[in-house]
Amino acid sequence: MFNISNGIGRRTVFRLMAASALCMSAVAGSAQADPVELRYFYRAPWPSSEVYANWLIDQWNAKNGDRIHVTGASVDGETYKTKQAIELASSSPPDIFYSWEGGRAAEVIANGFAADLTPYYEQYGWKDALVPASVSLATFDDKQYFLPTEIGASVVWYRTDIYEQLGLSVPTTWDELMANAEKIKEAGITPFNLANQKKWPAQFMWSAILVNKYGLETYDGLVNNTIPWTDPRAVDVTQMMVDLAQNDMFEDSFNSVDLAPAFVPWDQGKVAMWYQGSFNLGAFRGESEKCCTAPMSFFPMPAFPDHDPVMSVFAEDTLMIHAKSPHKDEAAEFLDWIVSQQAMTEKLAIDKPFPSRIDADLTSLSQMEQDLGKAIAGAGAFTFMHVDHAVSPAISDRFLDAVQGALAGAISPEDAMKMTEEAAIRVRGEVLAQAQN
Amino acid sequence: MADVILENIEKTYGGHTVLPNLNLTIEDGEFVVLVGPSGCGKSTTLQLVAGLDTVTSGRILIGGRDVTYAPPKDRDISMVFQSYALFPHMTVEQNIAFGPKLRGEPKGKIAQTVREIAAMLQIDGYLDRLPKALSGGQRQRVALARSLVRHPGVFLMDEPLSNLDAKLRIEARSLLARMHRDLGITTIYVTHDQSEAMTMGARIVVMKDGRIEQADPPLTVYNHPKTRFVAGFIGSPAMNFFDLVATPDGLGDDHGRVRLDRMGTARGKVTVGLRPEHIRLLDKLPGAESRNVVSMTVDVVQRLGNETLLDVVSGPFRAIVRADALAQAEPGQVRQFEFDMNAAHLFSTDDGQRIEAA
Amino acid sequence: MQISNMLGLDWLRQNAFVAVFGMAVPTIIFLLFVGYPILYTVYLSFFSWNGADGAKTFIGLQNYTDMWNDSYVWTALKNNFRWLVVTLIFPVVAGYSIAYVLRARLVPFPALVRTVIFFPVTMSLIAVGLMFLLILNPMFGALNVALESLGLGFLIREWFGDHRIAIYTLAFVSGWAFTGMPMIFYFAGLGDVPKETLDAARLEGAGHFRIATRIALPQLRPVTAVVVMLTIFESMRAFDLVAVMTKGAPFGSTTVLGYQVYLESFWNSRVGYGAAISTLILVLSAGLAALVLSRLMKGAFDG
Repeated sequence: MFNISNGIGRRTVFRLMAASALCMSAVAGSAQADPVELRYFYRAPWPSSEVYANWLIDQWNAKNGDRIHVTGASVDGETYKTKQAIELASSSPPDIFYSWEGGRAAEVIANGFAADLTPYYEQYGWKDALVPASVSLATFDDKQYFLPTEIGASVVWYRTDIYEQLGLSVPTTWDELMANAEKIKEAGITPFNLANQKKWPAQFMWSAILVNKYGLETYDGLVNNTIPWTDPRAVDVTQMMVDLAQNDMFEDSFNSVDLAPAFVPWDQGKVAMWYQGSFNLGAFRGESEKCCTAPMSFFPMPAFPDHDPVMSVFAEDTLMIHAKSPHKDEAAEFLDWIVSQQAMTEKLAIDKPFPSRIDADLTSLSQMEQDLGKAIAGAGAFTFMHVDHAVSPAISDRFLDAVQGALAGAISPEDAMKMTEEAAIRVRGEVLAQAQN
Repeated sequence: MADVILENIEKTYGGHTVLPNLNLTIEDGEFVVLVGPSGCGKSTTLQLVAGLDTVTSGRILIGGRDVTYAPPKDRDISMVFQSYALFPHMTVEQNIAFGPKLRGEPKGKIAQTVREIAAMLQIDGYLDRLPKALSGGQRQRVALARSLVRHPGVFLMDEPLSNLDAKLRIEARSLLARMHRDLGITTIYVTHDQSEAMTMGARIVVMKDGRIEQADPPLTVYNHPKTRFVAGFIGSPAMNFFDLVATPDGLGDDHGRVRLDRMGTARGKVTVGLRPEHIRLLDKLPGAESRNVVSMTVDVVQRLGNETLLDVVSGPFRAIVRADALAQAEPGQVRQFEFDMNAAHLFSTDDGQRIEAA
Repeated sequence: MQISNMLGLDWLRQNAFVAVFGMAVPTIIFLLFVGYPILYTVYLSFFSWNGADGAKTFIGLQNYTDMWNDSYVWTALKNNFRWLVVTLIFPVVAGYSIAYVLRARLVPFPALVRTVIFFPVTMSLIAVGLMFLLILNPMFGALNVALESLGLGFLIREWFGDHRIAIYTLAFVSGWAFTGMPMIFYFAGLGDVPKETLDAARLEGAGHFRIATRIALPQLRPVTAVVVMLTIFESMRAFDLVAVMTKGAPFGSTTVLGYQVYLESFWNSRVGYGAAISTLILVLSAGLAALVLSRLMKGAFDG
């Protein structure tokens, strides 16, 4: 048996605690009117992202905290996806959350978690303030669903010193690019970095070649399930990548090299070119004040005859308002602060490029980065996402596996695309079944 | 067949000296028992001879060969452990055949040897059993068989009987005695049990604190113990000791409780040792002329059937007296006891060394 | 009174604290945090659910037939068994050898060696994975450099790039991190093996290898059973290293069931399918555990 006097003692303590809690909340309630509470669920893949997010929230709360108070919660890049699924479906979901672009965003929208932001795009004039390509990425069925806060692009980075030393000029056509690559290889330097250990890097080049050789509409057809992956054009691009690999255009053991270590030979000048995203600019900058550690510049992936080059622009950071949020207007007000001129300028100082605002002040960046920023802003509304952003992960995972397998010579390009198509068939079937239900 | 010579053996563990300087020669075919209380160094000595441990300094010769640093298998020895150390996952046959197999003896020969030895030790009916299915006595015989199978030059036994009950122990003693008589293998036998030592050994080596107190045949040790320690250790019940002062008039204590005839020419503090059977309970009051009679109080009476043991006290003196089975004595009685001074031993109280009375 | 006494109710009444905190609370916690999730996982495996909206569709055994036709699940299953074989051999043999060497005092500073070998067990597998990504890096990794300098350059492989060996690379890394576990178990177990049996074998002329394998190891069957059991669970739930080091690359050849569960549930939003794969892991683990119990454990604890 429990000691009786003990039991009373405990009960008394509980009562006292409950009473004091009531008192305190009463005091707090009487002191001020309750502000609207917003929960902001963001992704912080780099340490600097966390610093910047805190700055955003602190600035906002200092100015508007008595009216609209924002509480942030961050998750690192790797686990975001897991947490997101749980958070969004919970009974008290965050008001504002990071969503990804493309296929993942489409899933969130399809599940009814994303509020339609079109009215806010009108109200705050975001359509004109933001880079056109990013607005088109945010548009699904003529409605805008997320606000892009950071954008990026994939380009061919190249070592200017190696180009100078070998007397090469920036290529404007695919053939010129290949001619440069041959000369670089003859000089004993690796033409391209691929760093494909984690299998996603190779798709950058794959989709760029496909878009520039066969046009954006072909690519859109693939990712929108109107053209099968077994289409000869997709097979051809895979074959081209395999040819590059077999022709020693990539570094040795490219399927064993992870992205981070690949910066070492790049900085050492053992590699001349690298088709990668601008989100690597932080790594290129390294410990330097401004970009970059190595002498380097960029050019867009050159086009094939009869095609205009299209630059891959992507929304690196994307924010949605939850459809069930009771404070959508307040949330939109906070979003407008994030894409304000002041916040975007501060982002460059604390975090990394590129701001999604057209009129953001880029002058603190290196000349090369400023040039790229302008190129992105001027790229127009026509753009494309790489495969793993454009389609659902069930398909893109198989696609990435398949391309990596083809590059390793383990399967033929035809089989690689067949593998992708099989996954796509399964997913489409599932989509159809869900629609019927 | 081999003799064993231990020369100036020193063994220390860390800073602790177990054996300061041990010298012992064991003749070929001899059965030697190392006996002493726990911690006296007898097991360490055996481990050193076996090669399971190495000396700090000194030399070990077996069969004339210096084996001080030789591995156990090259010493021509075999050993029986207190726990028998049978391999629990092997059958009796596999246990016995383990060594010969390892040494690459031909299969047919191994099988034959195993059968012979098993028959000799009467375990041939259990060859395919696991040790856990055997009784203690059977396990002991398997352990013997396993060490016999290699025909060692020297047989080492580390308290081989202490895990047996009293009845089996007596059987096993005679088995070991027979074995030694028939095979004549040099044997070093370690025990803490003095009666086992007395019955088993051709020679007993009594050890204390890493030193040899006495190494002699059993009866010599019993009748002429070289030190007070040996005298007290060998024999059961143990010898009685009386710390007295020797004067030209005789031996006595300060209070006149004990008065004994003088022994030899020793003077000063001495210790008189008398075995229980050499103190006699007197039935009636002694006459005035009687000598060496001491008056003591009976404390405890132990009747064993064939004899009676009396615990007696007088001031600081305590003694055990062996009396007849029907001795008339009750606790609390004050009785007279006669000391047989012809059988008394005399030791120096200071260093415990024997003082020859003659 | 009599009956309540027979049922132990009086005891319970007198030892209410023990009854509540020693028996009831652990049982409830177990049911809540272990029993319920397992049952719920099995339940989910009969549904199609994307994990986001509330709509779960009962689809019977569809997930299981899908699994049968999913080459990735088959690859993962094979990889789990490769993983198991490697971790049953490498860390167990290494752990036992080290434990024996430590017990036999064949190396100096045994306590230090023991600590160093056990240390990786306490490390997060994420950290281990990141570390080995650097060590096995083809450009400047320590392993390749070491092999080169030892004149063993011909042994250098694409540790992650070659789909024929990448899974073994992962399993070996896992084994490296796991070695301390069997070592500590065997170290404790060897302390209980009667020293005299080892001495007896030495007297008969057995060397360390033979003593370790023929005399000590057979007496350590209970320990081996526990170690094998742990190794099975460790290999069946392999996930962290794959997630950190390869993400299934190259082309899915290093995926394991645990990673497939993660991919399907959280990346592909097929929670029901992920639950079905989880159930497969559960069945496999339970089956293997039963096998170990019936074979290796049988009689292991008898005298």
